[in-house]
Amino acid sequence: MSNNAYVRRVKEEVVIVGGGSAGLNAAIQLARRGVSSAIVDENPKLGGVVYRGAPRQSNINYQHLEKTTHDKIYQFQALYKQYQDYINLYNQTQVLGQLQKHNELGLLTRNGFCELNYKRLIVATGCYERAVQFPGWTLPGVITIGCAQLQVKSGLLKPGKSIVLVGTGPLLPIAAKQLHLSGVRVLGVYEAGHFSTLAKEAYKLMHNPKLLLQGLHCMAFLKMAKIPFHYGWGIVEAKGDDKVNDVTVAPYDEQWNADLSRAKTISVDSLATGYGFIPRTELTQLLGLEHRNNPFTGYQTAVDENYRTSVSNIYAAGDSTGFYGSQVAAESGKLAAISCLVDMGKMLTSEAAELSSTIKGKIKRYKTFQSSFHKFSSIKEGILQLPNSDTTICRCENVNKMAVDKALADGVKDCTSLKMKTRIGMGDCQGKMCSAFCYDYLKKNLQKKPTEIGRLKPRFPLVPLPFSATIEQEETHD
Amino acid sequence: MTKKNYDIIIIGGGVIGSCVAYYLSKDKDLSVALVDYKKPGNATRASAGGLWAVGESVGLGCGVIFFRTLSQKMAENSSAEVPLENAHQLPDHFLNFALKSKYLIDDLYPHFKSDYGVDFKHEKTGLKFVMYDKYDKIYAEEIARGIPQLSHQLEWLDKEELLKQEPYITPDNIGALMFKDDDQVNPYLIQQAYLEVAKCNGVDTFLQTTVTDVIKQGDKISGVVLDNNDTLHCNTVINAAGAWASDITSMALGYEIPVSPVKGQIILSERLPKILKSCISTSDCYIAQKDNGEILIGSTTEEKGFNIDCTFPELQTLSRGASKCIPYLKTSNIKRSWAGLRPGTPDELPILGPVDGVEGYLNACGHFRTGIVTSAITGQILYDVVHGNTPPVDITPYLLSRFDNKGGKNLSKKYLGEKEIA
Repeated sequence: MSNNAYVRRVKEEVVIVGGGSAGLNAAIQLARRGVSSAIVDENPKLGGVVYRGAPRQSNINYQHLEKTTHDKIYQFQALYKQYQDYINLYNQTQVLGQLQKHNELGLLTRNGFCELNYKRLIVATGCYERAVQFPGWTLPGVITIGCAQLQVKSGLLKPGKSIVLVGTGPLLPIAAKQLHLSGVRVLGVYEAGHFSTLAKEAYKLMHNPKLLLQGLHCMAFLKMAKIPFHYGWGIVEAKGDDKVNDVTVAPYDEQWNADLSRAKTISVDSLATGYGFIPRTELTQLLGLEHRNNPFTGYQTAVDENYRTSVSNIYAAGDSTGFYGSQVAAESGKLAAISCLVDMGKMLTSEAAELSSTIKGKIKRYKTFQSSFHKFSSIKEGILQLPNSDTTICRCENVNKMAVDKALADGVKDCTSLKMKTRIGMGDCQGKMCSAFCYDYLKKNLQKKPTEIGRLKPRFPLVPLPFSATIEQEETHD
Repeated sequence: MTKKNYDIIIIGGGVIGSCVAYYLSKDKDLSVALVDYKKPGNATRASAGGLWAVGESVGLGCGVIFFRTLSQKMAENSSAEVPLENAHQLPDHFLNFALKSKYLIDDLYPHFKSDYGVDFKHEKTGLKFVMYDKYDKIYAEEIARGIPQLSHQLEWLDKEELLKQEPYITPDNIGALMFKDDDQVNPYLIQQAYLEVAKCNGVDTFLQTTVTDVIKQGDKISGVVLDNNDTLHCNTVINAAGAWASDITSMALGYEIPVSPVKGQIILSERLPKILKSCISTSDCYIAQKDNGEILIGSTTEEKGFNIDCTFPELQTLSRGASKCIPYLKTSNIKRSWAGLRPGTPDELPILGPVDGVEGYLNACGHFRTGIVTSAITGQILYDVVHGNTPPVDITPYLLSRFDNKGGKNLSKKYLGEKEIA
C-alpha cells in the first residue's frame, strides 16, 4: 500500500538545518572549498534570532536599532550574498523530523510536504527562550525579551508604550537599550542575578574585550537614559483584566526566592521576560543522536571538539550544542563544516587541524567570557515557587500547577508519566513552553538525576502538519 | 516502607498488569507488588483505546485492510469475479471472552468514578464500519453472517441515515454497518485507574524499575531481582510484560514464548470540535475522536522488531484514508504521530494462566491488539486461577500449552527457532 503513495523527493549532498550564525558560517566555510549546501530555515530570511529582521529596504535608516546591531545584520546579509551561488536556500520551510530511514528529513515547504535526502547533515537549530511560569504569565502583553527584540528589529511593531524587563543575562541591558531607542518607555530592568556573583567571575569577562566594552557601553547608556537597572530582583506576578496592567517585582535571594515583604508594583502595558535559553534539540532527539545535560548550558546535542555528533554523517553547531551565544555559534559552524569537508575528502586532516586551532582558540575565549554569566544567570530553584496552584503551567493543554502537584502526590516519578497523567506537553508545541519547568520541578521534588526523570519525547511532526499537505501532492501529481 | 515478601509479584504495569493488580487486590487478602518500567513503544500508552469487542473479533481495523487489498487483487486478476474469502474472524470463544470483558469494564466505570473518583472517560459511541463500494459491502455482509448470535448488536445504516448521524462523513458512502455496543475509553487513563484503585487496596508499586532476574528454587518461582539489586520474594510471579513477555519467560522458564512485537503507527489531529458521534472504521483505517477533541487515526500492522520509528508513506496512507472518510480533516492539522508495539501471538489470542512444569508462574500476556478491551476478563481469570476458582470462561484455548504439539514438545521454542532461520 505504501508503494503507491507519491511523495515529492529532493536530494542534497550537504544539508544545514538552521540559517542563523552557525548555519550560515558552516555554509560559507563549505562554499570556500567549492562545496554547495542547502540551508533549511523556517523564516523568510536568513539570520536566526540574532540577525533576523533585517531591514526590508536598505535605503531606509532604522534609527531605533543601535548601530552595532544594524551593522551586524547588514554584514550577515552581505556574507550570504557573497556566497549565495553555493547555497540552495529552503526558506519558510519547517523540518518535521526524520523519516523512515536515516538520511531523510520530512519538510513542510510552502508547496506542501517534501522528503529531503542528504548525504551529510549539519544541525544548527539554535535555541529558544525559556518560559517562566508565574501568576499572570499568560496575560496578553507579557512576552519574551526575544519577542520584544524581534518586534523592534522588524521596524514595524512595538510591544507597548511602557515596559518592564525581567530576567537574567547580557540580553537584558541590550534589549532595554533597543526598546528605549524605539520609543518604548522602559520603566525598569530587573536582573535576577546578584552583582556580587558576577563580580567574582569578572576576570573571565576580559576574554572578550569587545563584548565587554559593548556591555559596559550599554550599561552606561541605560544610566544616561535614567533607566533603572536592579541586580538581585525578579518577577513575582503580572496582573490585569484582559491585558497586563501591573507588574510586581521583588528582591531575589541567592537561590532566587522572592522576598515578598519588599515587593513593589509597577504600572505598565507590557512585560518582557528573559530567564535564559533552551538548546533546540527536538530534531537531534528524533534523529536518535546522543545528548548530554549541562547545568549551565542546557540539555544539548552531544558533540566532540570538532562538532561531530554520535552519528558519523551528522554534525551539530551553535546553541543547540550548548548555549554560548552567536559568536561561539559562528565559530562552531565553521568547525562543523571543516569536519564535514574532511569526511568528504575535500580537505586534508593536517590543513583542517591548522585551520581549526585558530578557531578553537577563539571559541575557548568566547566560552570563557560567556561562562562568567553561568553562575550568575543559571536558573535557580526559587523561581519554581512562583506559580500558584491555579497558575497555568502548560498553555496548550491548560494544565495548572495543582494538577502537576497532584500527579506527584500520586507517585509520578518521571516526565512521561507526568505527561500521561496531566496531558502536559501533549499540545501543539510539544512541551517547548512547559517542559523546562517540569524537568526542574520533578528534579527538585523527587531529588532525582535528570536521566531518571527522563524527557518529554519529541514526536514527528515537530510542527503541526496539515492533513492537506499529505493529499494535495497526489492530486497535482496524478 | 515496602515489604520484601509478597504473595504475588506482577511484572509489567500496562493495562493488563494494572488490571490484574486491581483484581488481585480487591479482597485485600493478598500482598501484591507491581514492578514496571515504561519502555518506548509500550502498547497501552500507544493504544487507541477502543472497546471494540465485536469489531476487533471480526477483524475490523487491520484485518479489513488486509482483506480489501486481497479481494481487490483477486477481482482484478480474475475478471471482476468476486472472491469468496472469509472475513478475518477470530474464534467464537474469543468473541465471547472479549464481550464479557467489555461488559465488565462497562460496570467498572461508574464504580471507579463514584467510589474512587477516577474517570477513565468511557464513552458510549458504537463503532461504524463505513462502506464506499461493493467490496466493502461484501466484507460487511460476511462479517454479519459470521456472528448470527449477535444480530441484535448490529445495525445496517443506509447512506441517508449515516449522514444524519454523522454529518461530517463523506457523502461518497453507501452506508455503514454499526456495532452498537463497541465503545471507547482513554487507554492510559484506564490503566492509571486500575493502578490507582489497586494502590488504594494496598498494592506496592515499583515504578521505573526493571526486573533483572527471576529466582527459582527447583521448579518453583520464589522471587525477582530488581535493577537496584533488591530482591523481592514471592509465591507467584505474573508475567504481564506485553511485547517484552519473552524476556521474562527467558528468566522464569528458561525459554522464549511466541510473543513478538507487532508495530502499529498512529496519527493524531489537533483538538477539534466534536464532529464524530461514533468510532469509525473504514477499509483504510480506524478513526476515533477522543474526549478531548483530538482525532486518533490508526493503524498499521508491521513486523519490524522493536523499532518504533514513524514512516511517512504509512502516515500518509492513514492521513489520506481519514481525509477521504472525513473531508473536514483537510482543513486541520496532524499534531503528532507515534508507534506502539502490540504483543502479538501466532494465533492472535492472549496467553494466560499456568505453565506445565513450573510452580508459581502465571502468564497474562500476548494480548495483541485487544489488550484494553480484554483487560478486565484477564484480571478476573487471573483472580480465579490464583484463588482456585473456576474462571468465567474456559481458559484452555489461552494456555501456553496450546503451542505444544501432540508429543508434548514445546512448539513455542520451535516456532521462534524457525522464525530466526527464516
